[in-house]
Amino acid sequence: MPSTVARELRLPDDGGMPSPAKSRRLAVGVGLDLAWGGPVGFRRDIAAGDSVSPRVARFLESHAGELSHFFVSWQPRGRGRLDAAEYHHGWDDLFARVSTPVRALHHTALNLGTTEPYDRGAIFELTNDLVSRYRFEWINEDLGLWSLGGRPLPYPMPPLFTKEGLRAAVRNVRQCQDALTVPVVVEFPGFSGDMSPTIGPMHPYAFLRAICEETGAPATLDVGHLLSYQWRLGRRGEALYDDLERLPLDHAFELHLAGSSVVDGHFVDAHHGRLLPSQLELCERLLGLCPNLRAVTFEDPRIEETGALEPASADSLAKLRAVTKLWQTA
Amino acid sequence: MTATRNDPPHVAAPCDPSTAAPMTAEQVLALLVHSRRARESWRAEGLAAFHISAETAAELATLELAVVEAAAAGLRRHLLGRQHTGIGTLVDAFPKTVLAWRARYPADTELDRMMAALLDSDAALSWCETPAHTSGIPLEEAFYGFATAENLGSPNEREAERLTVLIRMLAVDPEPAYALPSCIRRSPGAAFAVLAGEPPTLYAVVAARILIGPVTPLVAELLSGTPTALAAQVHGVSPDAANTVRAELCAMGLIASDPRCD
Repeated sequence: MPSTVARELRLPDDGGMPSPAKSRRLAVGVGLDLAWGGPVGFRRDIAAGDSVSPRVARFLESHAGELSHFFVSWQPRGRGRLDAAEYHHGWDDLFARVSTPVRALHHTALNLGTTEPYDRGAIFELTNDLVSRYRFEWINEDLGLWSLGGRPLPYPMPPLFTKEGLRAAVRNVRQCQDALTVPVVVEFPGFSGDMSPTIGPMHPYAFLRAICEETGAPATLDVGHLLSYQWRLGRRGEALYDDLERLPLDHAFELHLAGSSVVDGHFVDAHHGRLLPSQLELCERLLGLCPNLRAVTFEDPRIEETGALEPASADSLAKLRAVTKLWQTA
Repeated sequence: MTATRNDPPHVAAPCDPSTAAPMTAEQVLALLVHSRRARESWRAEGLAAFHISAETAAELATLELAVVEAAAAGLRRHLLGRQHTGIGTLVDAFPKTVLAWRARYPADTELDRMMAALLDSDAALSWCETPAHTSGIPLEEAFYGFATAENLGSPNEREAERLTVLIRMLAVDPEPAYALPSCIRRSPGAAFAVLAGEPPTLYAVVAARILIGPVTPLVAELLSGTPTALAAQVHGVSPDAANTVRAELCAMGLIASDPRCD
């Protein structure tokens, strides 16, 4: 069932597309990729029941009140058949600690970019259960290949920027829109390091725009992902901000910012909590270019054992809040 | 069938265009990322190495070999280093088998050559493990098949490592999203395998608890499904004694209950 927010709000220039956007702009939120067994993640415990790791618990104890919105990335609990009930104990523990009612799910298994047959039936069933139980207002996923031939990838690859790639992505997004109970927000994919093979002649910005226009889907613009594409083309300095007009700016609902680095000449989407100045600069420009933008999210800040943000992450979050302050109150 | 298993096993495999569908661009990408031999063929022959349409060839013209090589190397590192609950890494799961590889290829200190060979192997063709694919085998089982084909280490130790891994995996996830090999038998409360030897060794998970240890030949016989009377005869014990053993195995959940166990 669509959330109240999703039912009530519509983007103005899209023919009445339901949107997960709040009528107000949200302050900076946080997204966490919580791996099972990781220090920042979930713990499996057959006897006591699953839970979040102590580090996450401490972070939420001290920071939950500051988060305007929160997303969690879905990570498989193990190698068993998908069963939402397997997630309830751990996720119940997580969301008992999350005070904001504005919550989203960052998916990692929809595989929106694939041109091959991909059975999402069990994934939809699990996802809709989680949406209902934890009141997620939207689902976000990078438009990419999260697996190849049924085999996982360490970092999603870009979709095929071809006519067939576009047809397939539109088909995939529509299938997800039809099957999932809240809006699907399509994220621009990353071109991290030297590990993102690119197929096809279409400009990735125009590719995302075509998908959003064809499906009516809202978009997430990950600032580091955009920069990684321009960096890949050899652009530097002011040229990193080229081509923004080719993006689906009217459809942009959320910005993502995750810590990034330049390593050995490659732009790396490191998720280490340290934002580059160029990310803050691009964020500020996009705030002024995206009329329907509602959320800005800091992804995967580094959390210390005490639950405090690492100083570099705290500094990045403070800078991001400063950059978005005027936009948020306008 | 998954897309992977529809792919030709190796790019150099003979392919009759009149009977085989041309590969899609995504299938070629998958093959290149996973197969060193495919990348070598691409380097040597270009896109002519693949059974693809002219349209797909045009799409693939933007693909850069260096980027594909980097992506493939990243995948190998990821697969070697990733950990699963109760199993650890591939090296944790197969310590003796990996030692045998290291002894054979001492220069492969990072085990990158091993991972490339694994991904290129016939055993890896059935590997597949996303939530959308539930009929493939896990990477550990592919590694076992690869190690067997390469004759790494002793067969008995290799099999022992394999069964230990499979039982641990089932202890963590009793309803697996992958295909179990036929050596694993399931009963209502348990999963087990018996490794032949003197004595035989039982590898079992019973009510989420792992049991690994030697068993008597009679126990092994009963677990293999031999009727109790015949097992008693084969092992020279009385039918009553064999029935008692069978009843205990039933009580443990290793054998489905039948009237003789009551």
